[in-house]
Amino acid sequence: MNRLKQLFLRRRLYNDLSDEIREHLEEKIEELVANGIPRREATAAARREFGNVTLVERDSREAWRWPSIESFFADLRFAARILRKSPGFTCVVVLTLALGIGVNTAIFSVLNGWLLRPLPVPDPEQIMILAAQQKNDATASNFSYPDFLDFQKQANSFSELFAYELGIGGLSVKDKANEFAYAAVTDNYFSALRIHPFIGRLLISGEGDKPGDPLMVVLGYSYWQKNFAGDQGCVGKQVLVNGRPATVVGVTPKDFHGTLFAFDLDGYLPLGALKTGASNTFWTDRRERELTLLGRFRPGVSVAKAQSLIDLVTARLAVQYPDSANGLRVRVIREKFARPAPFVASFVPSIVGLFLGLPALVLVIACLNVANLLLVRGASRQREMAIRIALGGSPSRLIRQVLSESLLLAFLGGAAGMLMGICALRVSGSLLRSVTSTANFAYRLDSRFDWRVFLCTLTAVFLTAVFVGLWPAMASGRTDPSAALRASSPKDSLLAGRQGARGVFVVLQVAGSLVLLIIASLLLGSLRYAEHMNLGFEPDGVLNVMLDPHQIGYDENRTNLFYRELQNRVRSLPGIESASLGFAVPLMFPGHTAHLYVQGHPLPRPQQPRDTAFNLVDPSYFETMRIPLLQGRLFADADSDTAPPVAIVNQTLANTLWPGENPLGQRFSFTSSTGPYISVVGVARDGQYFFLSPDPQPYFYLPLSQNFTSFRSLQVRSSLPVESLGNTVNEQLRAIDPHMPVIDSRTMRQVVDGLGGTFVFRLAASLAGVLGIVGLALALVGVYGVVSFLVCLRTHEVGIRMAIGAGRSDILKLISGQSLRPVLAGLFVGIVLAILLARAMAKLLLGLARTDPLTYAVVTILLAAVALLASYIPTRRAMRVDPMEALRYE
Amino acid sequence: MKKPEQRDLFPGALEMMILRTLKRQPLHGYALVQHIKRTSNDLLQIEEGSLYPALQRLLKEDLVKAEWSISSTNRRVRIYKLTAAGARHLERQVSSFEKMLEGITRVLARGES
Repeated sequence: MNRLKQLFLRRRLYNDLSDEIREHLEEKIEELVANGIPRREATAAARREFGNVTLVERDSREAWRWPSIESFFADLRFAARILRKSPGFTCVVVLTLALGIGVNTAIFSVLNGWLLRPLPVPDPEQIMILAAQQKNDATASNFSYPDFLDFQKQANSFSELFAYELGIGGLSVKDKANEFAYAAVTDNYFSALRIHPFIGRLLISGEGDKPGDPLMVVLGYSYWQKNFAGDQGCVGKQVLVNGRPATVVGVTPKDFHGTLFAFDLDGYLPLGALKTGASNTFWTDRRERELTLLGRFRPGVSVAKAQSLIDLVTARLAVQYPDSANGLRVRVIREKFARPAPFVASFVPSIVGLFLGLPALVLVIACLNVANLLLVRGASRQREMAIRIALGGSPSRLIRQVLSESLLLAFLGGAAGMLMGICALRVSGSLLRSVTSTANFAYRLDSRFDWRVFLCTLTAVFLTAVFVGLWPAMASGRTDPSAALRASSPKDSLLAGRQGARGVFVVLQVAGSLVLLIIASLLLGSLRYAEHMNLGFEPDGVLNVMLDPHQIGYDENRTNLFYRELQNRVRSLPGIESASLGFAVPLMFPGHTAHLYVQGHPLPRPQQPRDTAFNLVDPSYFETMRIPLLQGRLFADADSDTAPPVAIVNQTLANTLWPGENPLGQRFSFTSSTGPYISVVGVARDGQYFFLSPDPQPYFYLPLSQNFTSFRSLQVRSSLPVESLGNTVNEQLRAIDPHMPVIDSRTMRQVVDGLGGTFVFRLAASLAGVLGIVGLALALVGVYGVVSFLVCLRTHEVGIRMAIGAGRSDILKLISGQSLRPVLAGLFVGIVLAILLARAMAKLLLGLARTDPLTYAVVTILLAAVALLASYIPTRRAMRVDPMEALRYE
Repeated sequence: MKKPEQRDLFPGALEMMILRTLKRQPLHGYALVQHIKRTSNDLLQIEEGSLYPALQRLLKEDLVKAEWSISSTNRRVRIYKLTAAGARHLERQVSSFEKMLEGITRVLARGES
């Protein structure tokens, strides 16, 4: 019979049984009566011969039981009753576990949204990102269109490569313009991703891959919902994109947000149709590295295999184009690990280790605390256990009973922890958003709960239950009933055993919290280092506004006039010290890179990276940003487009290209080895350009007047509060052209605190800091608890010792000797673990932080002092024992 | 803890006897116990009640099945029937029992001589 059916049909089975037994007895009685025995005697005889009816019924029912499950539920019910009886204990344990599990849940769901959740496309594991890496440069860069074509052609036997480039513009429907953050995609973008339209169609092969093709727009689902109110009839509609007529052809599926991590793109345009204009060198110039390359690799091609295949292609191309492919290495990275950008791939292991390891450590400390509490409770329940064993309860049954108590506690803790995790995520999510959002890209880090998070929490709960319960459970299973019952008080029987377990708990707790604290202070030191790193410019008091008049159809001449008028208007405002224009924004938008050829040196210098980044700036840029000039002169108005081209290099580039020589007057080219050449007129101080890095980066500046760009950022330095400048600048913009879109507007301080700046360091430091404090609090409670219990156990003994003449200092020695040994051992273990861990996460630690002995010493002494205090309070209680009281107590 | 009513029988003996009896004909509980008692010439002192836990175990293992019906004496009775699995089980049990018995007999015979 089916077991489950039995479980539900049991009531009927039992009724049948009772009926049957009743019938049996009646039949017997009737037979006896028929043989002439009086009914009363017959009834008695029948019952005698049958045996104990109740017992028989019980034994018969037992045949139907599912013993393990039923006793498990019985255990749980019993455990729930026990826990309800001591609400204080239950609350403390559940809160402690909730803290440990909550921290893990929250952090794991962030990690899940970041690294584990795949792209919402079929077979997402086949999608990989290709990142170009230059010699002498750790950062990864993008690809030019000719590069892309070469790779696509050469790699088409094992992959389908596709590419996109981000853009920000405006989309107007019936004269109503909206900002539009888009990806300009190759024609195979959607077919390689294998996604299907929500409505309409997506771009198809050969569509819009040539300059001048008609412009098509595929809308993102949320943009369509927001700006087209989800109108199905929008397919085929004419709109204006950046002032050019375009046709809406379809909408992407609801859960597809583009291949740029954490952002929700508004739409997709064909790359070909977008890049127009006779002067557009995008199609031919290998130096215009603007494309992010992705590939769908054939099924079964692993990352390693893909890497070796791509290496072959790279080598072949290096032979074909020795000039531009020189020293280039292309790394193949799983799409997940290249979020938000390929260069993080090398950080990912340390970050994941940090994010998983530290919270796990907090959970371990919480578990140790709870295990200790349970052990103490087990001690006070020793009599109960002894009586149960004496009455025939099997030790395994007792162990199961204690384990089901810890399971129940872990489940309550897990439920509470999950709630705490969700709350923590809400809070931290809004914090994260405020730091990372830009004006134009809809930010979308998906840290929702899904089955992975649930599974993680459930695993944490089960591990917790076993970890927390096993030790105390084994201890109660080992109870020797005769010893426990003979002892005059339950405490006496405990003196011999169990001290070992508690000592180990203290060692582990102290070690764990020391590791947390050391890592936290190392990360804090690293953050302080990052905050005080030489930026090369002065960020405070500067507002940065990004503009692109080309988006609303301005030509070169009109753009120049626009910027000149804007600059003049802003400069004449009260409180403005200076206003300048530049192309790139340090630590936010690094600008272009180029390969450099030094005049008179046909070969690249050995230290020279393949490409060097540069900025286009106007003469007042250095003044506004307060970038000190070390040698030579600044750009001047005389450096016009008809004057000889000039450049300002930074110290590192000067030392790389002309080691030991005076860089002033030297000439280099970023076009070809035969020129045209640019003369160096000045040397600027080194600074930070892409993201905070302790290594000096080569960099140079070219005058905007000799190198046109429509996209520029306006820097305004003012003595007024810089936050209030935004509106003032906007008013001036509206006065010149009410339709001019602002791409981004933020203070340079915000930029420095942002993603390219100190944000990651601050995040890591505050995460570790919070965890360190939680771990410290838990460990202190643990040490305090253990020593208190120890003192409580030995009160009697201390009384006797004092009665026979021991002084307070003897008692202090006695108790602290016993309680401090595990603390010291814990400190030692903690230091060793922290050194190992710090080595593993070296990438996140800037400066000397990793090996800073001062940090180790200060934190260790601090923890030792606090642990001493935690154990001194109960020890003092022992020293104050009144011998008379202590001895009378028993 | 052994149950007193099983003290004189080895585990499974009662079940084996029930199965063997049911193989001859389906019976209800009372008839079954009377038959076993009668056939064993009352040598086996079993309590009538001890039959029921054994019957429930056999039911659970699907070795017998039970159905309510009305007896010839117009009494509501639950008739037990041997299932195919029960028949196979009985065969195995009997053969292993006979082996065991043979072994015991030999040892006892050796002890006497």
